[in-house]
Amino acid sequence: MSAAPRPPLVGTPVMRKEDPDILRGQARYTFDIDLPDMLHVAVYRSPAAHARIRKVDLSRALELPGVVAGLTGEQVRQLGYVNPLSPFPFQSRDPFKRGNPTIKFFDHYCLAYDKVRFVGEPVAAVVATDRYIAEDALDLVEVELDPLPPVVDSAAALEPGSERLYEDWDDNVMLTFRVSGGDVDAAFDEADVVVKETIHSGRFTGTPIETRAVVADYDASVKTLSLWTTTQIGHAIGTLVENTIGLPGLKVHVNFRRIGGGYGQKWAFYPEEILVPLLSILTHRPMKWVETRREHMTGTIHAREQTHHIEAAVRRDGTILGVRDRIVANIGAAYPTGGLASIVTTGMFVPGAYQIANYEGQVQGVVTNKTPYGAHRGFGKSEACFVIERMVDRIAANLDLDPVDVRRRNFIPPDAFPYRSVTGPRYDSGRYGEALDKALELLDRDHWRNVKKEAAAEGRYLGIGTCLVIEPSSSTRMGSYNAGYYSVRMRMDPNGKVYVFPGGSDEGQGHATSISQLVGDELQVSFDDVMVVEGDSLACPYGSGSYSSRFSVVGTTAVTMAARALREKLTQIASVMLRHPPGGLEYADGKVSVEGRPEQAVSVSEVARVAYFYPFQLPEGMDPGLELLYHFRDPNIEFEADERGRVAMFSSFPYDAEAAVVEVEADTGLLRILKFVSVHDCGNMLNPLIVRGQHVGALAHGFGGALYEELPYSEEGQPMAATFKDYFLPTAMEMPEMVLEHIETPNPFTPGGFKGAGETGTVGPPAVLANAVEDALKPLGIAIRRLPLTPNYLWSLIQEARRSRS
Amino acid sequence: MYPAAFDYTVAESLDHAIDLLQRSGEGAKLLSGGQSLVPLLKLRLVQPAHVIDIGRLPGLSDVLEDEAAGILRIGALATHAQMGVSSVVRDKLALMTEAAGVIGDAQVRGWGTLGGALAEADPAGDWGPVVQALEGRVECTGPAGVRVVDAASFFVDAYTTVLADDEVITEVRVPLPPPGSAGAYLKMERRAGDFAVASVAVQLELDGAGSCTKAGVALGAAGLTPIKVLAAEETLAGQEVTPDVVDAAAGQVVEAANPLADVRGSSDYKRAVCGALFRKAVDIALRRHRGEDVRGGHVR
Amino acid sequence: MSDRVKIGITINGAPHEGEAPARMLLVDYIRDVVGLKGTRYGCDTSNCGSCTIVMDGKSAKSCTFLAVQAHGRELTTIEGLAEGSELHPLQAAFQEAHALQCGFCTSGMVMSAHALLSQNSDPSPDEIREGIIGNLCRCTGYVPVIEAVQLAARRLDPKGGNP
Ligand SMILES: Cc1cc2nc3c(=O)[nH]c(=O)nc-3n(C[C@H](O)[C@H](O)[C@H](O)COP(=O)(O)OP(=O)(O)OC[C@H]3O[C@@H](n4cnc5c(N)ncnc54)[C@H](O)[C@@H]3O)c2cc1C
Ligand code: FES
Ligand code: FES
Repeated sequence: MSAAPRPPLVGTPVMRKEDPDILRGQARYTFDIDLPDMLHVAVYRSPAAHARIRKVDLSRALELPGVVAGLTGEQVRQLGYVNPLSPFPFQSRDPFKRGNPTIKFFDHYCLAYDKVRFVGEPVAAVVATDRYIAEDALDLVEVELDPLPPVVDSAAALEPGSERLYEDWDDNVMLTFRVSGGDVDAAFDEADVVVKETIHSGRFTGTPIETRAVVADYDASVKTLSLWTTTQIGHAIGTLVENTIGLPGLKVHVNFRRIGGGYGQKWAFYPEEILVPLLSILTHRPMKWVETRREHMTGTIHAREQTHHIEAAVRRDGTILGVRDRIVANIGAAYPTGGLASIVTTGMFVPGAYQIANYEGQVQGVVTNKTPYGAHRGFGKSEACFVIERMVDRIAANLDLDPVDVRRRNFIPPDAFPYRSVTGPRYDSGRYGEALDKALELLDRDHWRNVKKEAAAEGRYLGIGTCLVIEPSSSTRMGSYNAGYYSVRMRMDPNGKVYVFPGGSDEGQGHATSISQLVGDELQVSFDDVMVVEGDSLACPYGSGSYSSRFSVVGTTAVTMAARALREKLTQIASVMLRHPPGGLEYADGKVSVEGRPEQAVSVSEVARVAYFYPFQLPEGMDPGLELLYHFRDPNIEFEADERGRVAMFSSFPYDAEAAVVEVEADTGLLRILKFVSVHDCGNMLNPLIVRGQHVGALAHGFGGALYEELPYSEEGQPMAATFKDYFLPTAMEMPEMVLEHIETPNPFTPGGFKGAGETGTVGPPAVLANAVEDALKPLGIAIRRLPLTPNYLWSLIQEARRSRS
Repeated sequence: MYPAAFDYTVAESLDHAIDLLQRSGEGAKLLSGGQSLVPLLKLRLVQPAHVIDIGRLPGLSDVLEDEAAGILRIGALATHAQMGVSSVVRDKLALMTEAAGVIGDAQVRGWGTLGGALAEADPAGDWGPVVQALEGRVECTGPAGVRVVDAASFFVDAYTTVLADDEVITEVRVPLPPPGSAGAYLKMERRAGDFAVASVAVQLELDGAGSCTKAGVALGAAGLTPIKVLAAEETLAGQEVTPDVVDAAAGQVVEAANPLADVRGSSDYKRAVCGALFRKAVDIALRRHRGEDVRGGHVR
Repeated sequence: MSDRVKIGITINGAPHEGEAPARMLLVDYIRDVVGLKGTRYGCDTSNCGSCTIVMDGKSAKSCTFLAVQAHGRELTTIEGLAEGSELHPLQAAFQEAHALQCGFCTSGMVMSAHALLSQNSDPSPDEIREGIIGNLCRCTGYVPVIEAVQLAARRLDPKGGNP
């Protein structure tokens, strides 16, 4: 009788091992780091959107008792060894080689020196024995600014005579990108109808509840900079810091062990990641800066602001023959954030879930006097999906068809996978029609159609909406820090415990739990005996960070493959110990045994001890120890774009079919979600508990972006939502009742069949709710063309429609 | 997040507090629950030289029915939460219970006080319109003794009241409405826990036949101060509350509102919301009068 | 009249005497003077609730109090819930329902829920929502938090009718 393998951990809702420490209040985040003799940094930030700096004078601030040091932009440049902030995410200036996209650069330093270009831009820093005193000193900093005309609106920024943010550029366009496939002109010639729209996504921000924080401790005796920073890209930050602080021999140790949420906002290279280290280098004292929320709302990236001028060529039956989209993104000032990559991604994914053979996307990233633009969960795909999902409903409205039928008619069919999209990506798998049908069934569309009819008779506005959004995950980009591989170091120690050192970082996704499940199954060790050490640039192998849901795709694969390699070695050693060929051995339940003879067995920890302490008993040529480094390269990726900009940059394609019923109250514009359904497919589920958590959390971002969150600016470039009092994050009260269902179409390119799980939810709600609202307001002939769907916006549309009717 | 420095004293008594206020002049600030003052200190939007803590002065937090005077006496230090659970408030003044329930969140309600809220005079505050619609009066105690100010004339401007630098709000007095009265307080917010986009307080005295004998109508977040809409009150009073009467009064409400545009909405929009909330509030009051159990408070 | 003040509190059952500038916020006092880092902060307008503790039986945002206002009061922070190696049933329910991800909001969320349950042993889902409005979470979407509080309520007060 052979030893029965334990029931698998993978695929089961294992509770997270991260939680007890957090729940007891013992978890330590970056801002909890206290070091002896530590000083505290406060940053003077530009109060103006656009101005020339005439004077920055710290002398009065420096006189205040308790103030130890200060720094200005001019002083940073005079240090001699400090370079402009190194570019990110593209580390080369011509990432796709063929001059597409084209990108302009500007040399920003960690403090502004010539001009200020957005409210919140760091201008000077003061250092004191505590933060209260540092803030007192800020009030004594004297700055004189000569105002310049603010450039706020992207259309105005594109006008020929517009004020330029960067004088040595010939316009305000930082990035242009084109991607096309098929014969777009022919498609438009052939069309029965052309549907044209201008659709706008508002400025949005991820705002983790943990603001950013940087702690730096420079030890001159060993030329080592220890840096703790709230980042999703700790290894890259090490490289970027080395590039930027040009001290010969500088060693950088980046710690990013526990991050309080990222969602893309911590996927950027920030000025404070240079500023705080510099202050430590200059004073030889440990230094801490913790971002206030007010600083965060302007000093940490925003996302999503885009205008799409889109037209679709369609047949009378709803078939989409071709699409042209001109996309203008308002990307704020040109700092090294992820924004450029995200808008290129938008251009690639406007075709969404549909078989569109002819497409042309043009993207312009336009700089303005706003906060720099970067990543947010959904990374450019949220905007793309919003636009195409809106267009499907606009097409249906134009042709008097059911939007569900137009979706079904154009879906990429299940037998077309892996599907090569018109822009190059290879969609791994999907059952879009089935998911949408399931969503409609769960919604009970027929019932709601009746309710809607009855409500209409009472003068109420109910509407039903659907969408199918894709959220391509695990990205790779030539010339950038996202290099499309994942590295993991793994060690089984002499006690049989497994230490795993992944090259990523955890912002709350539960990597330690997921890794323990995978390794527990592969190596048949207990869940508790898997130790995960993540977020230490010197202990862990180099990695490009956590973004694009890549852990579930390439991360899990690297871990699985590393564990298999370790198991292979264990089996070989056991074969010597048991004097039995490896082929006839069984590896189960913490033991290696001879097949059919369970009494002839060695425990995994006995094998481990041999590996470490009896090197001369090991097979010929085998290295002692049980430690290895494994790199997994994403198989479903194409690195280099072709002449039309086409490239396969994402490797897995989770998606979500959503359906919703809403009611709009005409007098107030209030929107009520009466029912919401999501049918999510992220491939196999490693841990259903975590998958559900990720999905619901993502949906909350989706509802926020759809209904509440917006970052308006005044004409002078002043942010109107600069605190949590004015930026409306949803609370528990704003979350609707939801019906959630999963279907599992495995990813064929990875051993576990997993796809990204944590981003799809952000993408759907804007689309499905806009579609439902438009359906509700159909009697008034209203079209939804922007986000968010605030009550004021809906009320204005209703007023306008009523006025033009009477 | 980091207040500027100040001196701090715990007032031992009301007289002590007034004495300290008198001596420190304009640079002093009283501290009750701190739920408005501390946020302002954190942002350094106010930088008092001296903070005088009256938060634990005894005898200032009772909620008592004074039958002889026909009023409810609310101590200035009564918290929002205390108002929310008080049964005399619930029985007699449903719209006060409603207001107490829509202010901020549980943490704020547990510590913020009625006196502090009125003194703060936030244009979007919830107590202002409620106390105005109920024709409440504010007792202010200073070096010269006590004066009582009508809520209708208490607010001067945004964040500004008739209180002198050396005066303390000590009590709020609200007339107990005669039987047959009904009212509602409605608040619309962008998301839970936020200040109002607009809010409306309506209190109607109704006779047996359902005609309105007296009306109180006031708006929050509709201007720099709470706005008591006298015109609408006059329109409603002495009338059967027919749809035409409500229309006319709603027109006057919209007319009276003068809200500022901000991230919560344009001024036209907020004005329209005042009208819509007013209609709903009157409807709820009438239904309550008929004995129906209708929810007020948040409009979601 | 001085800008440094003496502060005596009871925190998690133990007395603590200290001194701080009058302007110091309670959250900084708890974190930096008492040394309990489990209470966190995430905003400067008293909106996020990460700093929530229980003070004299009521939930309170410790960023919205001067430290000195806590003088003479009884405080419970997240560190005061579990007894020994056992998680408090509310904490255990959070783990079971996966009501935390990054954990940054969690201390405040748990303390708000704790205060809620001490006043209402059998809250409905809507009452739970209402009870945690002052706590922003950007990870969980709140649904699992509501489930966790219901689960804890059932365990703490098995008579509670809420199925
Ligand atoms: C997150 C949050 C949300 C909120 N939401 C709302 C809301 O929706 N609606 C709403 O109405 N309010 C809201 N508030 C404000 C809240 O109601 C405050 O509690 C209230 O405004 C102030 O009461 P307090 O006792 O805390 O006063 P404090 O903050 O102590 O004082 C406020 C001001 O009044 C003065 N003052 C205090 N007491 C007296 C007195 N007795 N006599 C004279 N002057 C005095 C102080 O000097 C100070 O200037 C919110 C607050 C927060 C933090
Ligand atoms: S820190 Fe945000 S409410 Fe206290
Ligand atoms: S768990 Fe991350 S903010 Fe709530």
